[in-house]
Formats: sequence, structure tokens, C-alpha cells
Amino acid sequence: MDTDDKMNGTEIGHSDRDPCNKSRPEGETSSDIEKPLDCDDIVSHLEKSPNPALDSVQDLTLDMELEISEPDVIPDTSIESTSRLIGSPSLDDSEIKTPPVQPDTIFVPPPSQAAQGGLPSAGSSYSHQASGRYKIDLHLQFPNGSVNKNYDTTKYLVIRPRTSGSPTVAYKVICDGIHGLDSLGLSAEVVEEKIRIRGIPVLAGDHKLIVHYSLFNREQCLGRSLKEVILTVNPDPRSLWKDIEPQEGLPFRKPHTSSEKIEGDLVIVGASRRGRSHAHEGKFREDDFRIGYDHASGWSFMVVADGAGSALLSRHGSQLACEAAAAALVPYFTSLLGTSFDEHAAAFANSSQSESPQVGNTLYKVLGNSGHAAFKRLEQEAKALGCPLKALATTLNITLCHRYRFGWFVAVFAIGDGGVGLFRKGDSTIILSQPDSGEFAGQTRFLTMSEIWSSGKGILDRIKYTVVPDMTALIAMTDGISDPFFTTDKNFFDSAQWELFWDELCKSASVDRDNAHLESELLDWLDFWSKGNHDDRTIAIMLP
Amino acid sequence: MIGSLRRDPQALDSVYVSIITFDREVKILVPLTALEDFQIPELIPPMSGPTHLGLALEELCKQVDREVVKTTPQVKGDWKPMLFIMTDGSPSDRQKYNHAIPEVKRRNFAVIVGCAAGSNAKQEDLLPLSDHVVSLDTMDSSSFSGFFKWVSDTVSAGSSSMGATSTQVMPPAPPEVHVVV
Repeated sequence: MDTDDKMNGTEIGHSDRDPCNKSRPEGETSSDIEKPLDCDDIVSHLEKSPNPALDSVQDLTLDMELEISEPDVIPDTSIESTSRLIGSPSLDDSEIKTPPVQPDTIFVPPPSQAAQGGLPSAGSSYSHQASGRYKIDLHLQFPNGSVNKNYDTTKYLVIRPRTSGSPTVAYKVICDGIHGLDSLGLSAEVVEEKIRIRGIPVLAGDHKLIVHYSLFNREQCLGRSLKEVILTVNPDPRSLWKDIEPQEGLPFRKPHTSSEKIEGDLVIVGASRRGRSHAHEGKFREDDFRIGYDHASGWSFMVVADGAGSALLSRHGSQLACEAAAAALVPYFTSLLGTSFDEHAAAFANSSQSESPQVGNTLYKVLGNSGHAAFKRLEQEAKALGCPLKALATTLNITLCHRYRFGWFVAVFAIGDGGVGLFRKGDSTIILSQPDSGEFAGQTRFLTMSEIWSSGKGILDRIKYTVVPDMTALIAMTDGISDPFFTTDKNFFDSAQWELFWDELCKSASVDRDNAHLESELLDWLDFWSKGNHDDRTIAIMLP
Repeated sequence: MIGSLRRDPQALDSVYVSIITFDREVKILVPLTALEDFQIPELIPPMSGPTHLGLALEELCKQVDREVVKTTPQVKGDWKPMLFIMTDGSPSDRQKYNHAIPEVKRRNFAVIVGCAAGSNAKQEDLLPLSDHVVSLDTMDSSSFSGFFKWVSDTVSAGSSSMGATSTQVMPPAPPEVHVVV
């Protein structure tokens, strides 16, 4: 939005003089007005009126004498009112309606008629005009506004430069006032050719404004006219969102929000909310999640899935994938992840290596098989439903956590966008998912893509694990949250961004394991506003 | 069309519009501009004469390369662009046009819609370029407003439901707009 910081507050309502009655000394300008163009640089563009009915249309020339009686051109009353601060509540609209002027046209009366109206005072220097109607090509366009968003723009009335063949002369346009802003929540300040419009728009639409102006040739007023301009005000997008129920009878329905809290070695909480873009179109939430804690083994898990927006039954796909992955995971807690794993984990924790073959191999089986079980489940479902597998497309991330004497062991297997971060306030955040975005927005990889399962190395690369002595929270999220907060993969790996994210989250929800309202506070928080980000949002958090 | 898009909250938040005109000359009438800031430009009716669609597509490709942002670790990319082409004739620069088709396809548009408007427009010329070709029998205001309504529905749908794997699902066309199979 155009703004002009140089605008001096004392100029407000300054234009109460009648610009046409006063001959202005050569070169007079208010010293505090910054002009975009020197008058001499403005090539006049006074064209013949295209309307053949108008009589004796002529080109303006400068070498003839003409005296103009100003009151014949426009009544004084309209000038008085329009040249005040427009938009002030005291101004009655009816005062300034329909001046007897055609838009974009200036009528210069013949000398005899002008003489009857009274001659200007002797000694004034007047250049000469032939009488007739002249088309004025005035360039003026205001940037669009938006309802409830501060608007402040400054524009200058400028005669559009002619493309060729016209002498450079000192034509100048003075604004006499603007009509049409009152109901919009905007007001105008007018100083000579400068117009500043500001305020907070309240009414959306394409609004017609009428700009009254006088044309000067050097210090002589040639006449008055008006210009109609459209000021577009966008609606406030927040007022446009609808909350529509999906059609009755559609299969695989799911509630628009869901949440759960489990207490084990950690408090695990999950919350998921249908995005505005889906609510607006009467679609279902496509995200899903499962959380769990296995008392016997002490393993905690969270599974988060984001059904593809482009896939017809992805809401079902994400649900099935979460269920299948969780179901496949649980038996491992007392087998591969049982007591024998404790030793591997301890050895890994005590080593200086970033990887351990034993831990890696076990997780490859546990997480790889659980993810693959979800994939097989979707394949089976697609066959049963007679739909293509990609109709069930979904992302999936599985997070495991166990408390040992040496600290928290955490492992993640992730396909697709969104991600998992191990947040340690005041310390670095460890990202346990890999970037999976395509070259355009919204593109990512899905559980249902065969390329995911085509190589063991590919699966292994998707498994990340670590041991930390302490952590603030382990957080899994879908892109409905990571997009607005982190935007890029680089930011997702930036600990400073995680601090900001955490602070923002904690403003709305008391993220504390003892908070009895944590679920509902998280659900409320998930409704946050972020321009262009209205996807489903799901977050799952483990709190030590 | 712009007015109805402005009333769609998802579009208002995310759609950018650019307009390229082509007759004898190819002109980027409006560079890629946020819907919020978009102002209807003065359209100078094209003169009769050659229809330089091929040249327009070349310009389009340059513009896409320049203005459409792709995702990198540091930058969030744009959504896939959509292309709507309206012509009332057939390309005069046929060689250039044929050469431009694969170039345009390489730009990964979410959808390319060709619209043959009026009796002089040749639908078959648009088929190799477009995913969907529609025709308007008459060039009256109701046909155009029907078409533009459909375009804005398409853009609205695209601005909220684009995925990685899909080609865009088109909303049903209004009666004035014939879908060429």
C-alpha cells in the first residue's frame, strides 16, 4: 500500500481556498509537499473529445488570450463543500451531488460569455484558450483496500503524458475534493494535486469515487471537471468462511475434531481439527492420529496421518493407516523392543556413535513393518472398495518413545510432509523426520506410493532415532501446522523457529502434563488464523 | 470472474492472476498479481489481424520461469499454476505454436484449459495444448460470463484441493460452455 510519511498533519483540511479564484504566483508550492513530477515534465494530454456532438472541440494552445469567468464553470457551493476534509461526518452528501460537469471533460466558455461573469482583476497574467470542450486524460487509480485492514495511500493528480508530438507545458491539476468515501469508513485529505485516503474500510465491493478537480495552465484556472474512479475493497476473508456439514449418506464419516490424552511414563495428548478449507466446502477432516502407552513394556507411541487433499477417500485412508500402524506396532513392544532391546539402547546411549547397527536393525523391522502393514491395509481396502490405491493416499509418521535410566529413547519413521521434532527449550531441537516436499506447494510423498517401499535403503533412511537425557516435549504435527509456523524445510530444522512456535503454542494452551484442559485448549488453539493456511491440523505431543 | 473469486476466502488468500493478451502483439497486460491487489486493466480491443498464440506461449513460459516460485529448502513454493487460453481465431504463427506446446507442457500446469470463442475459433488447434477444450458458440455476454464463472469455479477448486498426484478435477461446465471431447 502506498503511504507517504512526509504528509504533515497540519495540512489536513488545508485546501479550503478556492483554487480557481486565486491566481497563483509562478512556482508556488507548499514546501512540505513532495511532488512526484515537476510540472514542466508533465506533457499535457488534452485531446479532442471523441463525442462529435460536442461543438468546436479544439486543441489547447498557449499563444491566445482568453479570460475565463470562473463562476460560469461550476457553482461556488460545490467547491466550498468538496474542498473540505471529505469524509467528515458533518458533511452532507447532498451538498456535493451532481455538479454540472461532464467527467473527464473541461468546458472553456467563449470570451463573450466569460466576460459577462466578471473579469478577473487587472494585472493578472492569463494565457489564452479557445473556447470548447477538452478531453482530459487524467491518470488516477487507488490501490485496493481490504475490510478491517488499515488503508493509507497518497496519490497525485497527473495528466497522463502524451505519447508524441505535444509541447511540454505547465498544466497542473488541483483536486477540489472527493465524493463517495463516507460510507466506506475512509476519509480523504486533499492538498492541491495530492490526495491522501486513509482509514479502515468497512464495506467490500467496487466503489465509485468522484474526484473533482480544476485544471490550471500556469496560474490560470481553465475550468473544472470530475473523474470517476473505482476503489476496490476486498472482503475480510475471515468473514467469508462457511462451516458446512458434509452431505448426508457419504461413507467413512468422521467427527470434525478429535482429541485424546493418555498418562503413562509421559503424558501423551493428541488433537485434530477439520480445516477451514474443508469446512467451507462441506468436506471431512482428512487428518487422523492414534496415541498409546503400553504399561507392560513402558513404550509410548503416536501416529499422525494427513490424508491427501486430492484423494477422494483420504479421510478413510488416514484413519486406516493410523489404526493399522498402531496395531502392528504394539506386539513389538514385548518382542523385538523388549528386554533385549534395552541393552542395545543402553550401548547406543553410552557410545559416541550417532548410529547403532543393532538399534537400527531392530527399528527397521519394527517401524518398517508397521508402516508397511499400514500400506498393505490400504492396498487391501482399495481392493475391497474397488477404488485405486491412491484414492486412500495419506502421509504417515510413527513416533516411539521409552524412558530408560540413561534418558529418553526416541525413534521416528516418517513419510510425507508435516514432521516430528524433539523440542528442548533453550537447547537445540532435534528433527526426527526428513523433508519430503515436492517443487510446488502441497506436493509431498504418500504412504501409498510404491517408490517408498521399493528399497530397504529408502525405508531405512526414513528412520531416525536418538537418546536425550531430557526434553521439553516431543511433537508430531501435520503440515496444517508446520506450513504456517515453519513454512520451509530450512525453518523446520531451525531451533530458533521451534522456540517461537513453542511460545506461540503456550500463549493459547498451557502445555503442561497436569493441565486437565489440555485437550480442549489444544483444539481451540488449532483454530488459529494464518493467511493462506486453512488445512486440517493435527498435533500430538509427548510431555515428560 | 475476479469479483466472484474475491468472495472465495481461499482464493482471496492465495490466488495470483496474470493476463497476457495476444493479437499482432503479445503483451503482459497484468504481471502475476495477488488477487487482493488485482485491478481490472483497461482492455484495448485487439485489432483484426494475426493471432500470435505461439509467441504468447513463449512469453508465458518465460514469465512462468521468472515468476512462479518453486519449493527449495529455503523457499516455500507456489501452488501449481493454471492456464486458461481464450482465442477467437487460430494461431497465425503455427510453427512457433507447435514448438511452444511441449515447452508449455514442461511447465507443469495443474490444468490447461483452451476456450474457442465464436465461430471462427478452431477447437482442434487447442486440443494438442490443452487438458480441456471448451467452446462458446456465441460471443455474447451470457456466454462469456458463464465461461468466466466456470473458470473461477475451477480456480477456486484448484486453490484448495491441489495434491501432488492428481490432475485437477474440473467442476461441471455451465450450458453455454461446450466441453469438446
